[in-house]
Amino acid sequence: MTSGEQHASFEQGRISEGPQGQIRTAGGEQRNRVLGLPLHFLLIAPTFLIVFGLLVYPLGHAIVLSLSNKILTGSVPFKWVGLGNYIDLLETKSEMWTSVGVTLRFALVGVFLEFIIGLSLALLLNREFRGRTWLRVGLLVPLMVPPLASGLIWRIIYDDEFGIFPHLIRTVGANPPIFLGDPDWALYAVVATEVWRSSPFMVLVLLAALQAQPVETIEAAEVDGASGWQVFRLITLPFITPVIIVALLFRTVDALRTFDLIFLLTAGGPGTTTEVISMFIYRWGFRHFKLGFTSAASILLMIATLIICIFYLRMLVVRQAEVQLTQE
Amino acid sequence: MRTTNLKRVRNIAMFFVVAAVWIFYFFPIYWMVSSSFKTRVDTFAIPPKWIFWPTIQFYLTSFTNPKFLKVIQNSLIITGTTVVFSLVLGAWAAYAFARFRFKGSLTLSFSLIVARMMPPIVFIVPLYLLFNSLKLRNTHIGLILIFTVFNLPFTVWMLKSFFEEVPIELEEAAWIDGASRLQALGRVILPLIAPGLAATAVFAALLAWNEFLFALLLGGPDTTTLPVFLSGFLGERDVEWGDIMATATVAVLPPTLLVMLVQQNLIKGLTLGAVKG
Amino acid sequence: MGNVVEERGASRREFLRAGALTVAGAAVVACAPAAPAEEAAGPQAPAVTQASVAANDFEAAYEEVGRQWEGTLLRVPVGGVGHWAVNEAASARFTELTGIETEWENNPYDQVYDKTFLDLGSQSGTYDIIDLNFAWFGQFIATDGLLRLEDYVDNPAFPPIDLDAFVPAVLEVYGMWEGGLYGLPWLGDAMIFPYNQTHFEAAGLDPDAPPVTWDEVHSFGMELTQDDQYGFALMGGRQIQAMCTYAAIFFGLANKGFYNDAGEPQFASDEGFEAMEIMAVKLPEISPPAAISWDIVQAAEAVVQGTCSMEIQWPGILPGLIAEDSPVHGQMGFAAPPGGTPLGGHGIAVSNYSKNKDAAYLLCHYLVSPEIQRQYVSEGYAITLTDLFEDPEVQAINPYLKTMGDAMAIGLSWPRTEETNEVFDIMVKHINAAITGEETPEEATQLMNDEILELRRERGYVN
Repeated sequence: MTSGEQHASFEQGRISEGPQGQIRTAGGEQRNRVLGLPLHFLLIAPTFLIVFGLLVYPLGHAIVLSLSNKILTGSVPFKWVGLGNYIDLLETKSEMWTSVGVTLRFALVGVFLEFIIGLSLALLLNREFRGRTWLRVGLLVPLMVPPLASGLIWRIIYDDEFGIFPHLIRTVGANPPIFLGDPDWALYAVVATEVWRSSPFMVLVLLAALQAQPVETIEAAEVDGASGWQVFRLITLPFITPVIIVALLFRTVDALRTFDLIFLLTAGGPGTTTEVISMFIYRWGFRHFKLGFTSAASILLMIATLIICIFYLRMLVVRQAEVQLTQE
Repeated sequence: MRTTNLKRVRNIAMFFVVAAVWIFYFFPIYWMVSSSFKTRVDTFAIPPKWIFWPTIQFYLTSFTNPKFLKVIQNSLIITGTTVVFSLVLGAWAAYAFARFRFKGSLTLSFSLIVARMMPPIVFIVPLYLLFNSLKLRNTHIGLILIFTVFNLPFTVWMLKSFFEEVPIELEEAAWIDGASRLQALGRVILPLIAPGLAATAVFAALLAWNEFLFALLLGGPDTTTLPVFLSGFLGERDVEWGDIMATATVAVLPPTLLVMLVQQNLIKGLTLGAVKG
Repeated sequence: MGNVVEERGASRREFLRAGALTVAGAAVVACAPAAPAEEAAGPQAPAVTQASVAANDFEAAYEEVGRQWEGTLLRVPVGGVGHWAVNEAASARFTELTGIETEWENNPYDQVYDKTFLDLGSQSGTYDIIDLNFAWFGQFIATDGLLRLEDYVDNPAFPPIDLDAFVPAVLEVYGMWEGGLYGLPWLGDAMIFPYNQTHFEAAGLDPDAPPVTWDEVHSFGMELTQDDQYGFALMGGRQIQAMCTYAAIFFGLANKGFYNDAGEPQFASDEGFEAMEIMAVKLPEISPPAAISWDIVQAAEAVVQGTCSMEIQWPGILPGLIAEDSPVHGQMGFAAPPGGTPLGGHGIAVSNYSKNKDAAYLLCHYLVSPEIQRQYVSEGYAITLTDLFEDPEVQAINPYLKTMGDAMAIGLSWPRTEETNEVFDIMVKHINAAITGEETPEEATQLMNDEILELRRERGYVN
């Protein structure tokens, strides 16, 4: 099997449903049926039963409530308000827009840095060097620390009086900002913590993808005289692109709704500079108990996330197609 | 001569890069662990203290608390079962999405991610009511179910992309030898994607191990997990800093052990892949 | 200025005391017909012949009543560490006496409210005893989740309880709602003003004359602030303590509550603007720059470390100041805050949906008794019985207890209506914005006032 052929079979139907998909069912209809039911149906049924079984009701509940003025504490009579909550939220003077801006900056800067760091470290860890095993295990520790503890630790590390970080900066003669109190810095201080906590996820996922890459494709390319960069760009990158898509997708989805870290580090302050959308939703949902309003905000967040994800997928699909073209 | 020089420069550069990576990721952990051995006065010393007289009082309070062992046990049961559920169900679905062309497969797999896009906060109240009526609140199985639900979108997508990397020819070879689809899946494909399975398992485990909001509000005294127990050190007026750091340090140990075990598997998966190709 | 405030404080104190007594008295009388007495006491279980474990009459009383509910399990959700640890320890003895088991569920304090609210709101009756932070009172009442206690207080089947023995303001605020008794005063709390007497002396100030106005706090603070040393530890981060500090200043200046008689917020007043000016401009001048991100722990620890000389603080976190290993051990003085202070604190209540109301009431009763309150004192926690504050034995144990009693006497409560959490949230947002300079103090105060007014109008508290 040549590398070209192998790639063709990797690529097929991964995102688009191509005619090559036929190959997959090779082996006959019979192999694909169990107890008279299509095998693929039996295989996906449990997942969808459990996921939608548990989430359809809450999701429906949220959609219905988003059309009402429901307040859990109960002194205001319940009434349907149609799209009123959505209109309030989307109004230009709405506080939500501030949160939207903060959230986008938080997620984009954060995920971008995580991706760059994640890919670099994955490539580094894919090489042989002393202490590699330890670094691989060690990198995961930030993910294991309970969020409460990591939030508190970073909060104290950043603190201008008690913190080691400003202290070290002073020791070298510079003047540190109030990391969590200065409106210009707070968001990036929080992003740094998020990168610390989440980039190991990228590293491990991308590393696993790199390791699944067949060695002989690279060897073949090297024999053909390809430089290290060419090998990476033309062979490695296309190979791991699907995993990159998935990793970016999930990190973006999670970053757009990050809550715990921000709650612990700044609770949205100073002012509203770190009030991400989920902080906004938390305040209105669990401090004000305005469930109707909160549900509407959540659904808007979901729709926005959806759009961003589709955009992501498309962008990467196009890129992937280009890579394939240059290859051929 | 020049190449050895170049090599030396590269080695030194490598050393600094690796050292920087260690410091960035490990300094906060070091600070957490060292705080767990500091008295409160030392923890908040101005300027911060590098050298201090260690105390083990916070570990003593953790380990002498009869609730603590129960909490670890809860966390282990809930995390372990969640991982098994997520991986088994996730691998089935992922395999179906990777290897079968059927109508709406893309939409279906995408709809799974949508389940993860809602901010968890809005799910709390309806889920609370649902769990109440199903008598799932304050039960292990309730938390396992909900964690599995949150894990599945990721597990399915992750494993799907790993399945897709396995050439179909390998599978076909197994069919020709008379294996059924599921037998081929178990014997040929799963060993090949072991690194992917291991990585996915680690993340599924971490989600369940660290999840807080649902564990707190849908759980109860019978299901207290480590993060919930940990948060009990946040008082109305005070934060028991030392207790939190000591308990968090203990909480990091089981997943570290897991990763060390899986680490072996990661390397095995790698060599296996190399031999196979 | 100080005198005027003092006077007004006193008149308010008397007013509250009189009011509370009348209300409590009326409630007790109104419910006197002891019809439900039998029901309240439950079916009389056959006397279990078991050796008594009670060591004195006090314990014997609970043993005698409680044995009939032996084996019952009471669930109590509480807010993590703090006052509750003492109660949990005390309830272990209660279990020995009565055979009634208790389960104390520690949650982070913010979520105790969420959990309790969800439980009462869904009527699932998981919890038997409710920690009644009085700011939550209105919301819990709205769920109809709290049991009226008059019948129980009056019921001779239970050991007697003297409601008049509690600090009257505290009984009113922690226990009464529209004339009904729903909670027993459990944990008293009011912000006090610790200051470092050694620093005062070093700066040429009189160590026995703590500031009596907020202007003095500022001018003393300027004297105390130099190099790495700061006059004040401000809790300026975006969290509830910023609201508490602002409320303390506002109460001290204005000596009036959040709302006027028409239910409108009164922050857009001279005192309200001035309080914001102090909060956002004057106190940051004498606090470390980091204070704009500080929560309670950082501020309290900065005073423990001796970096800051004064603070306005809740007693619950103060044991660190007087601990043996504290860097400021023996240096601290304690005063009531200038002019006024917010009351914090908790009642203890029984869930209306509990299946074990009688046993739950007995435990509440036990935990607020003088004998158990004495145990709180040694741990540095709050008490609610008037006589205990005056008890020399108790005062000897805890150097700031007397001050706390004084502070509770001039304490004003914040509103208890169901939208209070939302009001706090609005306040925290604008106070923090003023401190970090995103809004000017005037803007912040005006916006805060307007938003609260709009909210209260929406909820029908203002016409």
